[in-house]
Amino acid sequence: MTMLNHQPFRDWLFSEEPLDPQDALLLQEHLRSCEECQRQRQAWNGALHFIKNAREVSPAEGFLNRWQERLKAQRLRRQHKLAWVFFGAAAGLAMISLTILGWQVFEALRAPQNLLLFLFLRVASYITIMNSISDYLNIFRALVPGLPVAGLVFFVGFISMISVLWLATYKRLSAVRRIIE
Amino acid sequence: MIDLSPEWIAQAQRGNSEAFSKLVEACQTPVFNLCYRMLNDPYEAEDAAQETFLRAYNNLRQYDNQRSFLTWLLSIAAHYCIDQIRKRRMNLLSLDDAVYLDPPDTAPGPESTLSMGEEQKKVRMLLEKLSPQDRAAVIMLYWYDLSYDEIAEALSMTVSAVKSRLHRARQVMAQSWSEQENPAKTERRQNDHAQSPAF
Repeated sequence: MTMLNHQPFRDWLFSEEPLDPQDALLLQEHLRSCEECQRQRQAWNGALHFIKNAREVSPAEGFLNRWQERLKAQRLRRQHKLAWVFFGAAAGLAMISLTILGWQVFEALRAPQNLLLFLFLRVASYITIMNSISDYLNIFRALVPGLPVAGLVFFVGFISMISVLWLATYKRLSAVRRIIE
Repeated sequence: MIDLSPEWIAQAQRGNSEAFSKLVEACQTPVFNLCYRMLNDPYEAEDAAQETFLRAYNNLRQYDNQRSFLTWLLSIAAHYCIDQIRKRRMNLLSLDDAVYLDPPDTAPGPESTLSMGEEQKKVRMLLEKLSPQDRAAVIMLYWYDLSYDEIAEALSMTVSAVKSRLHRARQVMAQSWSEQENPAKTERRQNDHAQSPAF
């Protein structure tokens, strides 16, 4: 009998789908006459019986403990990884800030006269402001003993208004002006 | 099949690691058994089983409560083992000249309880000629009585692909069984087949 003649029977032998009665009869007839297919069936039945009776293999004692240790180690690794990510991000930001600062310092050092002029003007303006405050305080100290309470309230209000006006004027004058041609 | 309390699963999904530990305790044997049958090595099986539980723990939110929890675990284990077998083959191909292998961990290992008896050898011989996917399908069907639908879902394939793989696997296992039981006869028969024009 050729392989071709065996094929449908082989398919039935190894299929777990239920056969219809006619096919089952055909298979039985074939098995009675074909030694090779009988051997195949016996072999599969033997293997199946063996597999179904093979016991389950268990892990060694303490599997749960080892798993818990592994989980702990994994969490620790993740925390380390996260810490490194944050550290890296912070270091990156610090590097960018330092680079910008360094660039500005470098630019200032390339033309120091501008920087010195700026510092001198800033110091001069602070001195002027301090002198003005000192003058106002002197006038106030000289006037206070002779002024009535209502006059004092009026004076303080007046000074406050003048201060606001002065601040607004200073801000307006010191703002960058757009030149309109 | 083992019986798992849905309460443990629900608690584990809410982040209770004690409840997940109970699930590990209950499912360790089927998961380890699948890994051992797939990989044929107790150390690798231990590693694969532990990795399976870690992956399950990390992806517990993706677990669909309509499915069996054990089937879900076995699915993770099978996919992991299939990947490991592929990697092992790749390593064999690319590291032919490797002369040094890491020594196994000296911690108490599975070898202490696992004796490579005659039965284990026979199971190993039956399964070793199967492809990793066929092996996983056979283990799920014959050890854990999963349905074709469950196997298909677990191995990400169609039901007809599962049936076809199992059909092929049965033929291979029958052949392996014949060779184990009657090595001389099998050899003679193979010679006869080689000489016959029909085969």
